[in-house]
Amino acid sequence: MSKKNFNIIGNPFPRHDAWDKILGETLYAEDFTLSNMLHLKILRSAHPAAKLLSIDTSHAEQLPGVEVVLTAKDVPNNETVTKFGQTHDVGGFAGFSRALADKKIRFIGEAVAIVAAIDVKTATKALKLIKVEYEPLEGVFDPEEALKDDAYKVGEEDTNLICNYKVRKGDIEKGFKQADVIVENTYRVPMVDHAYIEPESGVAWMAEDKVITIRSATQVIEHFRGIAEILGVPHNRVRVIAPMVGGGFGGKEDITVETFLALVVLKTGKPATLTYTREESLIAHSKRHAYVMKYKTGATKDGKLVAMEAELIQDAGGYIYLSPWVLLYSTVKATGPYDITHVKVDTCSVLTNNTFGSANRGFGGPQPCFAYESQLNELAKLLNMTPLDIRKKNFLHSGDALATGRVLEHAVETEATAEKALVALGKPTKSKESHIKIGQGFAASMMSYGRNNFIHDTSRSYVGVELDGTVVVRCGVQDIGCGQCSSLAQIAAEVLGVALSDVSVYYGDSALTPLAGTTTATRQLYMSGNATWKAAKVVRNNLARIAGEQLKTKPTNLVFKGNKITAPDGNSLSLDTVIKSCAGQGIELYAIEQFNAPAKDLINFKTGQGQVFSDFTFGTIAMEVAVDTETGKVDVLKIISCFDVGQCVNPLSVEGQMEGGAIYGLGYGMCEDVILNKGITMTPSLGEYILPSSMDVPKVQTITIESGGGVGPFGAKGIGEPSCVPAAAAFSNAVADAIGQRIFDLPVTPERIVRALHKI
Amino acid sequence: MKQYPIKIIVNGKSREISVTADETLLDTLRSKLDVFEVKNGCEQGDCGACTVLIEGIAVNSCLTLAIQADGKEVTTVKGIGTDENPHPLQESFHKYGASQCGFCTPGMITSAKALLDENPNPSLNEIKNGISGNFCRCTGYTKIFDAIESVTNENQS
Amino acid sequence: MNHKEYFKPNNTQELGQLVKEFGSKVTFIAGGTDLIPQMRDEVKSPEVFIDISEIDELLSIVEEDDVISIGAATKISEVTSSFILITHCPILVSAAEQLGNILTRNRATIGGNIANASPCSDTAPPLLTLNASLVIRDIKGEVKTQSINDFFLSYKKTALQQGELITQILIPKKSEKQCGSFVKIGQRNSAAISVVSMAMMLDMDSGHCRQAKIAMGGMAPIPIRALKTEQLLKNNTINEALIESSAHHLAQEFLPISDIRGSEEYRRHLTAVLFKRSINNSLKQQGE
Repeated sequence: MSKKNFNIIGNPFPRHDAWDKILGETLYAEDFTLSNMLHLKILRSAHPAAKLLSIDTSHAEQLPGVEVVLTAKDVPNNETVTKFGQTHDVGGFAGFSRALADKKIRFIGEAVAIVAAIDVKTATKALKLIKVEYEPLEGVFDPEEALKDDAYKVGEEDTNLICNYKVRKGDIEKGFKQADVIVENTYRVPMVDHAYIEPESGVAWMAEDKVITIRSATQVIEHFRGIAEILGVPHNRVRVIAPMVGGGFGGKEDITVETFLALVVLKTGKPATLTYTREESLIAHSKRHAYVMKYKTGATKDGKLVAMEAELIQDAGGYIYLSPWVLLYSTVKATGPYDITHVKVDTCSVLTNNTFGSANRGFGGPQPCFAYESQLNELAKLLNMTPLDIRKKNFLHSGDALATGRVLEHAVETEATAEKALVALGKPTKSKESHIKIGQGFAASMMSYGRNNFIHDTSRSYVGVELDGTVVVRCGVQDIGCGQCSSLAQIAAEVLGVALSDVSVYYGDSALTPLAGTTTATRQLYMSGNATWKAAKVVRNNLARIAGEQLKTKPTNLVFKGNKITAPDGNSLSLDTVIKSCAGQGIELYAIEQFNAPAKDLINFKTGQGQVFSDFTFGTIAMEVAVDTETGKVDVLKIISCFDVGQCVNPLSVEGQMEGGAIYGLGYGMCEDVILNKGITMTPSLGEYILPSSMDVPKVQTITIESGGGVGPFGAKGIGEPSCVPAAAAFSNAVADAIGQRIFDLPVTPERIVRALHKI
Repeated sequence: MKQYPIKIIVNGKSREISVTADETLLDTLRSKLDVFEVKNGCEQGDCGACTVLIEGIAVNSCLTLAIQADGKEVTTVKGIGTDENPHPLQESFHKYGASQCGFCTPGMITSAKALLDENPNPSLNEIKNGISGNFCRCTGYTKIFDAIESVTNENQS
Repeated sequence: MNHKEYFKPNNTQELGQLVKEFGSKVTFIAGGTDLIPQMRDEVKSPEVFIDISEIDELLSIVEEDDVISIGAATKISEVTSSFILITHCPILVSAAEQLGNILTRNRATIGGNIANASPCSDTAPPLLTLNASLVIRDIKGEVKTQSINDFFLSYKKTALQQGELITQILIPKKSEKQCGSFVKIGQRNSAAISVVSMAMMLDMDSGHCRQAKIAMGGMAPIPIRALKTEQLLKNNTINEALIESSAHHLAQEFLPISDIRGSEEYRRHLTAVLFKRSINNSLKQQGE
């Protein structure tokens, strides 16, 4: 790849918001206070499945200090049907949801009532005074059970099936007949939590002109529409502001505290605040879906994949939320970054009375990755091939097509990422003790960036220059810690030739910043990055036209660098001089641009044929582990992450995403498990829900490939989600290598290792 | 509820406040003293977002009664360094990109300072142990290890 | 209305006066790392806090002729850095190093960990094998000594009456012929509640075991001595066969529960594994 001549892009600058965070200055959702705020507490269901017979809030209301207690009857539009997309009307599926529980409880964390009081203590006391009459129902907690005709029905429909998809390529029976070896296994992955360090939180108030304003830790300020619908107020009377968010990972993608706050503000006119307790967060907010995955894979004796049949059953939990989209992502990625002659994929999403599943980093990508990367290694074992060799025989390359028929027209560097990762992993460490077995394993993956194409995704950004030569970006982007804002500053700085510190980014305000869409689906660099790039270029072109006249050269010959505009002959003008010149002539010193992702029709869900995504990020994670075969405990010795990121907008940020993603995924592979017993959460604290601590991880080594072949600005590809997708599979493969046995469930815990070794 | 007048020296400034016997230091700092850099992550002593130094010792402020800090020096990240005079740890966190969403950062830097005060030249394992009470969900810890490692005896003022 | 009160006595005399005045209403607090979460969960609702964390008599670690005395309010971080304890009670130090995480250890106290009586307590198994005694101050101010082996009665219930306070932990100094180990298996390497933990002290004489003390966490409703397995080792020569059969026996001695941290079968399996490791590690110290 040719060396690019960037000044800002591609350089490891600390993010422009880094100092504030390091000095403790950043004000997150809960750090914002108003006088006389009401403090909210939510009463949650005592049962995962029950008829809600009655709620008596009278005693709670009478407690001194309680302002209001709200239940479903107090919500103007308690039941809504969301069509997924950036507005309510764009996109396919209809997801029924309730703001507050009514008629029938569908999962244990379901919100039943809202208390607003003068302080948290009073609100907590009031919760206990609310009398709720339930009739517990049998419920259903296993998605395979829930699919049966006579199963308990979670909702009001006569089926628990939410949706299903198919992918058909070729003739699967023919494929298996061609296969010399076939492996067939069932993989089970549990529900896991985002476990961001900042719990869900927000403050809301009634501003001038009756605008209900909510400042909350959210990935989607455009929920203002959904909130307005629930409140029965016009869309332009709800404003959502996203401050810096203390971690999102998809868990703050759905509405969390916002509706509760808005309802109280609407009812009382007073400001209100709500922060979930950690327990509440672990019990009641969305989770990564649990899946049951049945895979049958056939290969010829030289390792060519001729048939892959996959059945994925997704446990959606009590409400639909984003389950159909997550399932769609899983469906497209079900067979991985491989060329397979005959493919049959059937996926379905099922309601149960477990906690609801929704977006979680990777959005349905990590689950099938665990399955297909395990299958590949099982085949390799039977064929006496190395895991790398069997993959090299089957990796998709640029120009090849997925099983969905979609041709991969952009860069596909999976093979290079696998080779580099393994070189970096090196030869196995020698074990010092006979009961410690060293294992090495890796997993390759594909993960889309950008939302699905039939959403007709768009993003807008404003770039303007001030008279003193400083730059302003206004963009509705929500920053959840991945440098969403800082990237825009870098892009604007690059295009306009200023220092990073010369750019201010105003972000995340649905009233005041051009809407940039959700911070989800690894789309912000791609979408708002491109929109910002477009806008910055418009401003630059305006400045270049005037500067060119003054410097007597074509605008395209000018170089914008060091706060100057320089002509080929070496003469230059300072940026602010040109700006003032433009201002004097009434030339626009700003631009708002919209970037449109490719827009496609809905794919054919019966054959799965069609284009769903703009592009994918391909990569590999490799690990070395030391397994104590007697206790099952695993020491992770090495982690290597290698991804084609297209172009590093900021290498420091990219490395950070890759390192963080690897450990986020390691937790999924090694120790995280939201344990439910008939719908009741058994792990409602961070002492019981096991995250990797600093003492459980090695340093992650990162290797980036910059193919330039992405559709983001400067040829970048997204990395936020892709970076975590193969980690759990890599961990599992490394353990399998160590112990000579495969574990087909996640997490691969010490106990499971011990059981696999037949010691108990 | 019975109120007790106490005095906490927060980042060198004496703060007088009334607290109940059972109020936690975290609650007092955030809700009465506007010390927002000390974060509420779990209130159960699991995550470390609320880490402060009490007389130089790193503790969870959510597991300390406010009244137990009476007359004591409580240091937060704002007492460790400022914009005009950042601590070398803060310089290195900045340089190495050790902060992403930033929510764990104040607590993390506070624990790291306590570590380096006691052991100016920790090994990687000692660093891991020194921040073992602070979870980070964004960075995967690598750049935090790098940032702390880079601040050695020679570099510390 | 609940008017919670707080007192911080400077010495045991002031402590005595407060206990006299408030009697069974008192709740002692030092580090608060167990108490405060219990208050949030409304498992405990103290009316009168008596903060014992700065009473000198409860803070020192003293080596006397035959016994080590540890003040009950000694922080776990002080246990881990005490030269006296590193020298004389290394298995207690090993357990303390693995308790919670560094922030917990900076506040939690050894007396608090004992009194909390979690079945997975980290300090209890070593103390059980070290034959520790607890000096307990009763509600009248009188002092009695009780073996820790009689202290844990049932799940989270101890011999402490309301208003009583552990003031010291006394550990007889070990002889040169004694060796031991502590090992803990948790779900991660920090802030891990034990799935199973095992402390062991052996009294050896050239391959001959005069006495064995084995105590476990995570295997019963209380931290517990494995008295039956101890008998198998007592007055026997330690060889492979005995280690093997004792491991098997120990794995069956208790009735552990299955919970989110591990199943009964896994806990029994770990017991056998940890026993073999502990006994071999202990013997290595003696050069056996």
